Amino acid sequence: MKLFLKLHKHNFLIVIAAAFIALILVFKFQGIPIVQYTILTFLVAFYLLWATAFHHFDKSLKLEVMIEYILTALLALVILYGVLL
Amino acid sequence: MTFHHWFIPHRDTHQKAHLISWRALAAYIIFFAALQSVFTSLSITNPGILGTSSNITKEKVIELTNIERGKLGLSPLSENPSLDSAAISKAYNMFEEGYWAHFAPSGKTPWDFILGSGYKFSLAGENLAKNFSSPEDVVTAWMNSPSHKENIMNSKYKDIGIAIEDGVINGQKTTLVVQMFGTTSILTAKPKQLAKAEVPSLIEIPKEDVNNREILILPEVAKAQTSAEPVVNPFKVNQFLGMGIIIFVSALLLIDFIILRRRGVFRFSSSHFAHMAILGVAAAAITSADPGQVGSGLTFIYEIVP
Repeated sequence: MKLFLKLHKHNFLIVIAAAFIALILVFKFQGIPIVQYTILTFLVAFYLLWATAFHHFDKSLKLEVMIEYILTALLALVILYGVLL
Repeated sequence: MTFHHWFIPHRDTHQKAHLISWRALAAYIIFFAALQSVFTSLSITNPGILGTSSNITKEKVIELTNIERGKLGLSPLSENPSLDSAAISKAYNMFEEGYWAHFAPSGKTPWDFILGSGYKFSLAGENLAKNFSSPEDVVTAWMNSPSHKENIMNSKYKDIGIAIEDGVINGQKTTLVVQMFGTTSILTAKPKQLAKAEVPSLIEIPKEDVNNREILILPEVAKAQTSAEPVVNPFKVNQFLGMGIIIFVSALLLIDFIILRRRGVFRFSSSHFAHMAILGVAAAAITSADPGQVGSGLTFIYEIVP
């Protein structure tokens, strides 16, 4: 249980790992903006799912917390829309 | 509401800095959405005011293409006036019909332009690029794309034609590069894997069509729209402001995290590191972005009966 709680506390590392994979793919598909944007869209979807799961198990799932995630995701997507598409 | 509360968490309530609150994030989103709307409106009301400018020359593109061929020991391509004319016609047709592809919305094909220029090819190919700022970037992008590279490195081609034309597509100033390859030699064997394009890869044209081609006339309207340099480059503006906001928000998130740690307080909040990870990948995508595009190369054969 202690190990679970310890891992749970650091499970933002899952998002960091997903972001790292996305980072590699973004550079791999350099010059193909539609693919780069799709990669980022999948990453953002994963990030929102992770956030929901994390805060649910953490018993800290609140509307204002989720709004921050949604707005951060939207900010990334809207900026990239202007640059890539 | 004191000045430093815009940048660091509140001393007593430990609330996030105002500039990374959900209201601020919503404001940034609205700003960028509005910016895109302004660019879209400008491209409709003032065609040509937005876009990129370049310093690509025909001679340099041919030279760089032949350098790439030389690396594989292939013979250099000779500039052919008919293929030049076909490439120019193709570029102007793209401005006139407002598209960027091998095939026009009206149904015109690359070989319409080549045959129309009087070049009776047995094998021909077309590479397209737009919005690159230098000839090195264009040729490098083509060499990084298998279908374009296949055209550049095709040993059967003897001639090359290039057009580098400025015009307006979808309201934005655009620099198009059209590269056409060809040979009039009768092929002894049908080349393998001719095309990697979004259209049928191997297309045979009825021989009688060759004699019915009309020479395409360059539209003067398209040329007239290209005289002025673009005032605003939307790509650069989006890149600069997007990167600025991402760095700014990430820095404030880091400061927020450090200050809370130092104060030893816990706040029900979203994960700083998750936000920074997403914004970090977005920043990487912005850094790697280039306004230049190459699409896919196209090779086509005209069956000649010996």
